[in-house]
Amino acid sequence: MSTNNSRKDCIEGFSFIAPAFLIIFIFVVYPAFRLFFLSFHDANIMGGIKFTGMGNYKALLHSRDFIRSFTVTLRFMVMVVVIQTILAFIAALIVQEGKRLSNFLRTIFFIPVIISFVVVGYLWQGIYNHDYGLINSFLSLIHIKRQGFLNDPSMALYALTATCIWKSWPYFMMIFLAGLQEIPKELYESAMLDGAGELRRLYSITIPMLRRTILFILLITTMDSVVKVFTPVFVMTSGGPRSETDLLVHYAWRMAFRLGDVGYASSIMVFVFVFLMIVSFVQLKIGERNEE
Amino acid sequence: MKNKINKTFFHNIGQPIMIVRLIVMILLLVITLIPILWGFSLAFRSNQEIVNMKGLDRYTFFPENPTVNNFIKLFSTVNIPRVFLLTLFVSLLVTVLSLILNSLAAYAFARIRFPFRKFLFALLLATLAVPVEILIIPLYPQIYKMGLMNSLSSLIIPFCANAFGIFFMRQFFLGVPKELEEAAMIDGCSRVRIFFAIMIPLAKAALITLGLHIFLQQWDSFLVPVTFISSESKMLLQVAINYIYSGLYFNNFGILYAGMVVATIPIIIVFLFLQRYYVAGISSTGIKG
Repeated sequence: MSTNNSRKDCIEGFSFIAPAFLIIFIFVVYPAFRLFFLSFHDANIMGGIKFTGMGNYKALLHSRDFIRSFTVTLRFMVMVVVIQTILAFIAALIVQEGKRLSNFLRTIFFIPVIISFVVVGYLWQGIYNHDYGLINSFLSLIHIKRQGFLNDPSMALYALTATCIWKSWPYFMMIFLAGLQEIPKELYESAMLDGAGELRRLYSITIPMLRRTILFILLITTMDSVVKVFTPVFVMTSGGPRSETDLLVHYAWRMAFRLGDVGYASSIMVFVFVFLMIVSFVQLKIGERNEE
Repeated sequence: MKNKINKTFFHNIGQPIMIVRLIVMILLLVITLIPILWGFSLAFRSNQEIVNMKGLDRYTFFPENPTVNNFIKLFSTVNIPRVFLLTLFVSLLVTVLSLILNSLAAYAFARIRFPFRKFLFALLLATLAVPVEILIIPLYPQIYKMGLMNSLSSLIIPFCANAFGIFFMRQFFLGVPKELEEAAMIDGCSRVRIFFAIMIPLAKAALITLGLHIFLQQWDSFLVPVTFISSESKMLLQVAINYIYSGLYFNNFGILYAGMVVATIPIIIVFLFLQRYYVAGISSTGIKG
């Protein structure tokens, strides 16, 4: 009976997961290994390959373009993770109470999240425009010289960062709100009886209780800020001016699909993957330590 | 209980904090809405009017001479109905297929004891670390060799199952009481029957939530169609907007903004109706992640 059952379970289990796993194997697992494989080769996009060992990785470390792209990615990542998380947290605290008003606010705040990145990118390209852009209209009002935000190498990355945060922060506000709802209200009551003030309650109850939510948000935001940036870069700046916004994912895509250097581009993507693994690992370790 | 706390929360706060809160709220509201309103108004202006917008005045957010010319030109330069139908077709097909495949696998992971399931589930979760942005380079020659290049299948088949969806549905199935199935099993129902007749109807809300996420993701998809599809006749919506921008109509800002309005309005309407489900998805991934 039991062996019969377990055989049946085995067949049923595998047939239930088979279709999904087939797709995931062919289009995720296999390409992932293929990417790793390609990174040790000189390759073109249609498949011609020649083994070069560590050649691509050596070239990577000696490429000034790559070093710049990595630096830009790091700066972008730090800015997005820090500013977006703080903004989302403060906003969550603010819209937490007052049911009707906060439901209304949440709906409004959420509009940028559901607008596609292509549309958001072109919208902000207009807002940053040197001639008719909204921000320059404001600046002219207070007699500041017109700026070409996306054409100025010293400003383009900040302009891109602002746009990406504008689009994504409400999403993380929602996650914070879900986390806030999980905190037992009794904690606040007893803290208030003990005379703890607003700030004290924030530091001693809210933030410690949200540890797991914060860790989750940091993990997701880090990954998104490194990986989910192809569209805004492609649409708004194409990596310019002077490669100041050429984030790694876009740089690799450009190397592969515009310049045909597939092996080199693959090594960039492998680097992105390893880098993200290391950062996530460090974040998880720090998160665990704080848990104790 | 909650209301009581909220009240005291509000009343205990000194006036200054309330004012700060109000200011931040208004600030966030303004920062969110102003760009959208401004962009919306551009769709109803002539190019001449757009180029002459130099300072702030009463026409900054409302067109001086409203016109629908941009929309007329838009419909004559891009086959909007076709682009819409194609995008809708691809998005819906991916959504339906991935709901079926993901739930089947999720149910197995939640309920059936088969060998290697822990290992397979771990492998599945590991694939979350390699999103399509990273895999696009090896995918290109692969899609080419499979003969899917420049066909809509290249936008559908690779995306009709994913680890997040399986994880999400598994969390739901784990929460369903086992007794329901056990009773059905005793009555001699097969797994397949139980899955379709009991679990799927129970999972309606979770399926809508996941479906909405997948649908929006597909509707917004840009990297994949821009890389795999080359012919204009198979252009999807986001690529079409890029096409309006970069193609023949470079200086026609008005058309670009009209295209953006047309691409965005339907999705906002869908969102307003199904908001509740979308938010539920975020909350559950936030807590259980």
